[in-house]
Order: sequence, then C-alpha cells, then structure tokens
Amino acid sequence: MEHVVELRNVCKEYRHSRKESVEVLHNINLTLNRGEVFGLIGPNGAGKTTLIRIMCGLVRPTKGSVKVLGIELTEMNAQLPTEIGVVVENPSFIPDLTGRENLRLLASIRGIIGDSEIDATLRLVGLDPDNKIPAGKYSLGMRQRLGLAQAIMEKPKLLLLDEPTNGLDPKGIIELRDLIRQIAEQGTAVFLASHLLYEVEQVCDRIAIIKNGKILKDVRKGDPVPYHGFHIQVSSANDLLIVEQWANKHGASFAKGSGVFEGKVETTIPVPAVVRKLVEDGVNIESIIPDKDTLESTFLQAIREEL
Amino acid sequence: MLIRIVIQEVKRLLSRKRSWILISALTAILVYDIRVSDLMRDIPPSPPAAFVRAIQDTFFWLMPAIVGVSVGDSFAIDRRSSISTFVLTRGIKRQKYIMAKGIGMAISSCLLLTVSMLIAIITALSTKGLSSFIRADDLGMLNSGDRAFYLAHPWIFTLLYALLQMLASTSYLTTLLLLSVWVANPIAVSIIPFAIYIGTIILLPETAVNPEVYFNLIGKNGTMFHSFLFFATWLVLVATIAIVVYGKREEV
Repeated sequence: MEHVVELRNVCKEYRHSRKESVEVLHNINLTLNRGEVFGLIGPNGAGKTTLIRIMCGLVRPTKGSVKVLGIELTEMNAQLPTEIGVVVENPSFIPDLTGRENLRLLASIRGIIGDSEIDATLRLVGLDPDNKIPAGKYSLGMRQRLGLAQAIMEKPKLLLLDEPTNGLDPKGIIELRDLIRQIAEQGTAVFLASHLLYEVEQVCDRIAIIKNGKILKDVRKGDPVPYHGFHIQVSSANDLLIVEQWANKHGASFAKGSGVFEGKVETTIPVPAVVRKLVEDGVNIESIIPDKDTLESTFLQAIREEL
Repeated sequence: MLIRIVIQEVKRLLSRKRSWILISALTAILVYDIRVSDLMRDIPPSPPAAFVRAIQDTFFWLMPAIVGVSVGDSFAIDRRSSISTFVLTRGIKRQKYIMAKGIGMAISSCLLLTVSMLIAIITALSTKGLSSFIRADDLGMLNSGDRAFYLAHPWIFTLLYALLQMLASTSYLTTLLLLSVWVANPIAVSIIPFAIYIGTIILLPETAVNPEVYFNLIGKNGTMFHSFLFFATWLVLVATIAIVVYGKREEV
C-alpha cells in the first residue's frame, strides 16, 4: 500500500549566518496512511511546524526524501500536491473580506467546489455563512474555525493541523475531535501537531513525541501499555494491613500513601486477580487504580531521557 | 489556476471601498484642472491638450499614492495573513502565484485609472470654452518629435499618453510587489515608497523649485517612445527579480 506521507531521513537546517546554522529537524522518518490520525506532540520549538511546512512544500528539507500523495517534494520541484488541507497555527485571513468571501477566494483557485459546499463547510465548523462581519474582526476561535473550514472544504486526502485547538472553547474542542474522527473515517490521513497531550491522546491512532527536532518515541494506540502495580484505598486500617500482608506474600513492594487508608503496591499481578483475592480475604476496597504508563508519563520519560 | 487567481485578485481589489474613494478624489482633481485651471489660461488649450495637461499636473505626485494605497499592499496583506500559505498549499507554484498577484494588481490599477481618465476625457470634450483648434503651443513641455506627432494625431497621442501612465503605474506597483517579498507590512509597503519618491523629488536641488521638471526629464530629452522603453525596462527587470526571489523563498 502506498503511504500518503513518507518521510525518510529528513533534516532541516536554518542558516543564521555563513558560519552559524541551527538544525531544527534531525533524521525524521515517518509514514502516514489513509484514514490514519497521527499525532505529533512536543514542546514549543520542537520542530512540529517546520515538519508540517515541509510536508506541504512550503519549506524544503536540507537532506532526506519527502513523498506526499505520491509526489516527491525535491529542491526545485515543478509540481506540488494539490489535495492537501492545512490549518496553520493562529490562522488569519484577508481582513476586509467576510469569512465566506475568504473561502470563495481560496476555493476559486482549484475551482472544484461551489458556494453550496462552502456554506455547508462553514456550518459544519460552526460558522454562519451569512455573517457579514469582516474576517479581520473575528475572534481567535472564529479564525481557527474558518482556518479549519478552508482546510476541509475541498475534501483533501491529507489534512495537516498545527495546534488546531488554539483559541477554541471546550465545546469547540469536542466538536473538532469528532470532526477529525469523521474526516479520517472517510479515508483522509490526518496529521495533528499539538502540545496538548490530552487532545492528541483522545483522537490519534498513532502518536510520536518530538523534541529538539528528533522523534523520541512512536506509540500506537492498542500497543501493550507497561503496568507497574496499583494504588488502593480501603475502608479501615485492618484492611490496609491485609493488603500489606498480601503484597509481602506475593513478593510485591508496599508503601503507605499520603491519604487515609491508602497504599501503593508495585507488582506485575493484574488488578482483577488482586481484587478477587482481597475481596475473598474480606478487604473492603474503596478504590483501586492501576498504575499504567500514560501518554503524559511516556512524554515526560522521553523528554527526561533526551536530557 | 493562474487565470483564476488573477480574476479573484481583480474582483477583490475592485471591491475595496478605498480604491473607489481614492479614484474619485483623483477624478475630481483632473476635472477641476480641466474645467477651472485650463479655462483660466489666456489661451485655453484644446480638449486633448487639456486632458494631457491635467495628467501632467497631477499624476507625477498623486499616482504613486493612489495606486499604492488602493492596490499596492495586496501581496503584503496575503503574506501577513495566512492566505499566501493557504494559496500555496493548493498546488500553485510560488512563481506563478506572485505573477498572478502582479498581473491582478496591474489590471485593477489600470481599470481604476481608466475610469478616472475616461471621465476626464469626457469632461474635456464637454467643457465649453476650451479651444476648438489643435495648436503647436497646446502642450508646453514637449520635444519636437512628440509635438509633430501630437499635431498630426492629437487623439492617438492622447491615448498613448494615457497608456504610458498605466505602464508607469504598473512599473511602480511591481516595485511594491517586490518590496512585499521582504516586507509583509501593508502600510509600510504602500506608504514608504511614496514618501521616499516625494522626498527625493523635493530634496533634489534641481527640482526643489519646480518638481515637474524631474518628472519631465525623460519627456523633454527623449520622445514618448523613450518613456515607454524606460518604464517597460523597469517593469520587466523588477518583475523578474520578484519572481526569482520569491520563487526561492520558503514560508518559514
């Protein structure tokens, strides 16, 4: 199967002066398939925006190969891929035109959609097609919605989103999440760059962590998650004592928690088996939370390892 | 794709209110010059000469401001907003994009100037009191070649003179386009070159008393053909630089 995006050993260097240059991307290898939602998370300045701009041909890589929708984006490439939708960070539009007029202007370039599709897209992202307010007076959230509308209105095969939740209210964020899933289900490959771990985790099939221009980790949804034990809260001191005895018996380490009748157990025995045994022993369990790797802990670990 | 961008650009620039306000102001000045200034002369000129004189009096200082503010900032606006990014991700080459912008800006400015000049010509033709004879002294600052041409074909001369103004405005706009490649600030792009132009005219010793002399240097020493050649060379040179430089840039 041909990948929608295929990056091989991509490097990008910006030259500040004849002697001084800074490498913002280092040996990036990445593929993105049809219908897949790929998330890229990393701190500000990690190289997310540069990577998106390389993928849509706005920036040329210093080294490596970039293939997007079957087109090799080389140094002086004659042809750029057309079926790409891009939402840049903090999008802005021609200030004296309305949102609809801005979209009409952009839609006229390829000429494949008409006013009805533009209006439908505006409604889909929560904007009113009949709104006569010029885009220059839009709030950040409205501009973000308009940015999304221009990116999806021509039903692209590849959707590149750079911090798309910037300025969106909670309702807007939830709507965007649903929209991304909907778009991906129709076969569009979605590349989402963000620094919001939760947002990326909610919507993406695959997640990569980037820092200082290097991809540190590539995690796939459904990959086995490392399990380290559990946090438990019980009803009495006696119950907690039974938990401690159970841990000692099974070679697990036990530590009292800071809360009332709380403890942390490090073990590889799965939670359901533990619960069964403790209940049999008469322990009154208030709560039990497995201690698994989350995206946040993976991210922090990857960043720490890089340091 | 290029033609579609050109059409959209023309539509967009012609829909700007300020373009029409500025063109109305220019037209009012031209009409005033023809109906009042020319009639106050001892020997009023003929209609074509009244039109050419009105343009000579106003265009050299007003035209850069009018085309600069009405259409000259278009590319800077695109670059300052995310529009240039959105356009470029729709598969158009950078060189074609800047070319389309330049052509769109030139067509818009020529259409705006045409409206203004048409009204001025109609005013000249309908103004009672202007001379009904074409005379050798109709136009003061003309070299002998152009004067002979004017006497033989006054309306063709007038038409060529109007076209020359459009070429000059296009050359000026192309310079603003080139400037926008580096400066993505619409106000700076439309105002600063005009301020430099006017400042240069005023500060040059020869032109301190009469700025018109500076503008007419080419016209006096050569024929209108030389003026066409000058502005065409300027246009081609600046447009080529703009296309090459923008083509090599990256949207960082």
